[in-house]
Amino acid sequence: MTFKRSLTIEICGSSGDRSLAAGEILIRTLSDIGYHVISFDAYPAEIRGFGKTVAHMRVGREFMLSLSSKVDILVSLNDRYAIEQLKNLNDEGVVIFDNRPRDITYEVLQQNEDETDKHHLGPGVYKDEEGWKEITSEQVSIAGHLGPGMYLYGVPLYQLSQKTTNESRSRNIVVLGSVAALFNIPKNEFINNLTAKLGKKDKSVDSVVAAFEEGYNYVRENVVKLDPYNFERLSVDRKGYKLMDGNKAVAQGAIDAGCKLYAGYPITPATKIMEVLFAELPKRGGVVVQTEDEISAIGHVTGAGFAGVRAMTATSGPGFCLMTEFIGYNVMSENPVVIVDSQRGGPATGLPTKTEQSDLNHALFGGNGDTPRIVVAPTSVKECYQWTAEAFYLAEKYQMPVIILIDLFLSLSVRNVELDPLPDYKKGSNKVPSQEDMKLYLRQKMTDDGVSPRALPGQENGYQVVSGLEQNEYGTPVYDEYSHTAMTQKRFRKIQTALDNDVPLPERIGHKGRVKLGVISWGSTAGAVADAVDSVLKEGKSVAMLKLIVINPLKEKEIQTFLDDCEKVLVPELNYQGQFANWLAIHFQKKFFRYNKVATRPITHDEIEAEINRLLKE
Amino acid sequence: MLKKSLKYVIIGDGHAGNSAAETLRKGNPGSEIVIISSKPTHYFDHSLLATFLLDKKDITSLYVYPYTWYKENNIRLRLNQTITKVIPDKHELILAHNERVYYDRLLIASGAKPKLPESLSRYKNLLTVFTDAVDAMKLRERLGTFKHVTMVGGDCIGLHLAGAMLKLGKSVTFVLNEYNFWPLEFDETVKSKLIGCLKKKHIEVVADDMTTEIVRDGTGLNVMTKNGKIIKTDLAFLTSGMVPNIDFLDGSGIDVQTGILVDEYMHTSAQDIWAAGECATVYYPELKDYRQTTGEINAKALGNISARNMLDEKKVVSLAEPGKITIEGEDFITYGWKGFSIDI
Ligand SMILES: Cc1cc2nc3c(=O)[nH]c(=O)nc-3n(C[C@H](O)[C@H](O)[C@H](O)COP(=O)(O)OP(=O)(O)OC[C@H]3O[C@@H](n4cnc5c(N)ncnc54)[C@H](O)[C@@H]3O)c2cc1C
Repeated sequence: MTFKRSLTIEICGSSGDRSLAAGEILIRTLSDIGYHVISFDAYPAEIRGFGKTVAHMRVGREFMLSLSSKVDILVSLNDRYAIEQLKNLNDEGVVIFDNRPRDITYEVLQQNEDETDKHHLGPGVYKDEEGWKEITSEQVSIAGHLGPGMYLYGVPLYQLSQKTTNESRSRNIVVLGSVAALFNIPKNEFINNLTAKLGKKDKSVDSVVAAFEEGYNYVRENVVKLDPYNFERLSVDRKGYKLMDGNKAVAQGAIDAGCKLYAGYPITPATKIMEVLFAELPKRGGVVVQTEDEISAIGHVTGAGFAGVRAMTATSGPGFCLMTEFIGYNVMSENPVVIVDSQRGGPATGLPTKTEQSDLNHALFGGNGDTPRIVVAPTSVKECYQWTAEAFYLAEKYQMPVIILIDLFLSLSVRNVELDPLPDYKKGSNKVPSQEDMKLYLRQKMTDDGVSPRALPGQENGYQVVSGLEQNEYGTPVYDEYSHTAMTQKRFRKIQTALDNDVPLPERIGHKGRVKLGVISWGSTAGAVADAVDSVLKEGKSVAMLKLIVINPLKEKEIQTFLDDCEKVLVPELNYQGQFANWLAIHFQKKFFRYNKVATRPITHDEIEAEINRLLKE
Repeated sequence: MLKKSLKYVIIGDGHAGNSAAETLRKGNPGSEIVIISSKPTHYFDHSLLATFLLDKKDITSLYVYPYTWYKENNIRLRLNQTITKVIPDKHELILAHNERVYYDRLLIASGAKPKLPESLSRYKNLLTVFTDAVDAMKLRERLGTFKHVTMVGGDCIGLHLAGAMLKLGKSVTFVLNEYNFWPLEFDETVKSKLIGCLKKKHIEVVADDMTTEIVRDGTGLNVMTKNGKIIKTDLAFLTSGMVPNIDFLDGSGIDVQTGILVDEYMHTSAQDIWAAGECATVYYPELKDYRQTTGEINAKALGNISARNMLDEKKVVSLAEPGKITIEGEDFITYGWKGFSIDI
């Protein structure tokens, strides 16, 4: 790859053009030849699945954690949609398009009921609610919409697809061949991934490989390459790397941490966690239950936790709201549960297919009464794995709910990651009662660290009463001032113990000591901050970053030291209110410069870089 | 009065097309201007092609404007897109990728392509062309693979290229037939002077003969002539002059002879269509006759005059000043080329 740190590629089509499948093969191949990749595809908003689909990937020589705002290479499988993507293309970006598309007839049509259907149509006269409208061939052909510095390459995708597979649906494969030839991506890796994806070994696979070869040869024989972009093989070994998205990493973390029960109700963007576990848990003696709703899901997990089984549920904002009552119940009954909330645009049903970080308030405060809970927010796919496993350990050890906050971007973005094996001690963390404890078993025994020994159901003499009512050490419901105060303190003491023993120091990146600007970030946005800080550090700027994964409890002393070091502090996040900045403001006396967006897409590293530079200049 | 919202479309991103676009933009700031070119490269200076072979400069060093110029002048540039048809009645162009482009006023400035003599058409694949930036780029990549080149026919492109070949230490043979050294002012005196100059430069000249056959010989070629000469060579360049690039006008109803026939206002026989540059056969009132034009000076001047007429001015074409080509210190007159020296 010539030049920059990374390149961003988009394959844009209409659903049915199979642009996402092409994107998947492309990132696999680029990963195989040594590149770091992050993909984040855009689906049509409608569940019915009409409309624009964009496979979007950032590919770099160096490790990256976020997306770029600008695209360098745009592959069009549907010009009408791809034209909309041109606004993000760099001034010297590349466009690949079908230069011999199916004959387009000029149509006179009443617009279909479905708004999005008009995107399937070629030029013609259409009627919609506002009356008759003409769509010209110039409006729907991407060739006339490029900026003057862009490179346009035409490949007869439709013709070559018909020639090799007798159908037009292999245009996505033909174009992969062209991409391989144009950017010098080794052909064999591509073909391996292509055949692996198709799975079967029959004639249809041969014809698809032929479609790839046609696209490849066409470019080699007919296209004059003028752009500077190339992806030659890198001499690094990424054999131990796996391609996975955040959802898969969460599921893998749960499996490796010994989760034996998963209960959930499908919801975008968390559904895939359940899908992976459906396939994997039963093989390992576990159970997956698709419940009738989210209340039932967390009910199952609560029951399993009580029975001493590591259990988890995953959901998104609307489902997480329904689980609120059970969060309190598990706080009160001191029961371990792991809840994953993959945030999407809210409130209410909100924006099911768009990312946001706006459930933080709910994760921190949701529920009645004083309800301590641990909240963790992984910032990368790798951390989704590590911190899911960690969440089981913490929930079991401190007998309370642990909430893992991820978001749609982390859930669905695919990266190549190398997962470190989990240390053994993380696999069993229940405070097992001693023989002494079992002589007169107290489920809520007062202890210095707040954690009571926990007997599991069926254990001899471990008889216990569990409810959502306030209780004394026996677990018997009580309503007096002394017990409520002591028990509330005990529950909060566990949080302090967790903080002292199990919450790692926040990671500081960049300059040590005093800096002009510090950035504190959380969740997936921290990835964009890390990439941005890395760039500005290379320019010699006085900047540092503090990355928090454990959002509650906070390592106050270390955060305070960081704040004291910074002249200004920036807190970027994907919500309107600045929920994380507000959380920090409760704990620290400092002016926080906020950078809040509800942009329906992740914040990119270049946006943060611009904000850092703006604040440094001010 | 001229409508502000007119859409001007220009076929061709060469000297004629760009000079017209610039004039149109100045004359009608609110109009839409689109340049369409079948080449992937930007508007470049042909006179730099030979020296491009001598160094390692980027292809952008040949470009006349940075691409930002088009942005600043609000000119839409459509590169690497070929027009296959013009439909004057509908004011429509058809592009190879099936798109139809509407115009209010059209300028055809599609230039010229190498002339392939009928007798050599069978050997097309064995002949190398050197007419644009891509040809130069490809040739530069192959420089290490050949030692001897043969110019099949005599034209100024061959001369231009010969200068660079000599500088690169290659030996050069010209096979000249009765064709004039396009586009030089040519007669017997000029011819013998020219051959003398070429020989002084150690260029082999096979005069009053013509190439009849080209065959592969190992990695090289044998160029055979009518008089029975066999020239062993590594590369054979097609340098037999240029012909207007106007195939896409077949069936359009626009009058053409060698090139597109235009009157003294550069207007073609079709309404709202003008033509300029090497594709045009222009009526010069000074000559009271038509003349095929070539060269940078002509192309720029004709592009400008066409544009002024497309802006509803009434501008009559006039002959451009001749240029000169220098070989071994001797000058040769051309009627349109800016001129160059092969004594590089
Ligand atoms: C090697 C070489 C060296 C030269 N050196 C000199 C010199 O030193 N001095 C001098 O004065 N002259 C020189 N010339 C000649 C000069 O460059 C030409 O006369 C001049 O470029 C003609 O300009 P034009 O605008 O008419 O055509 P061109 O510059 O050839 O431009 C034609 C344009 O039309 C486009 N086009 C053609 N067909 C289509 C189609 N179907 N669809 C879309 N686009 C189309 C092409 O892509 C191109 O952009 C040289 C020529 C060559 C080849």
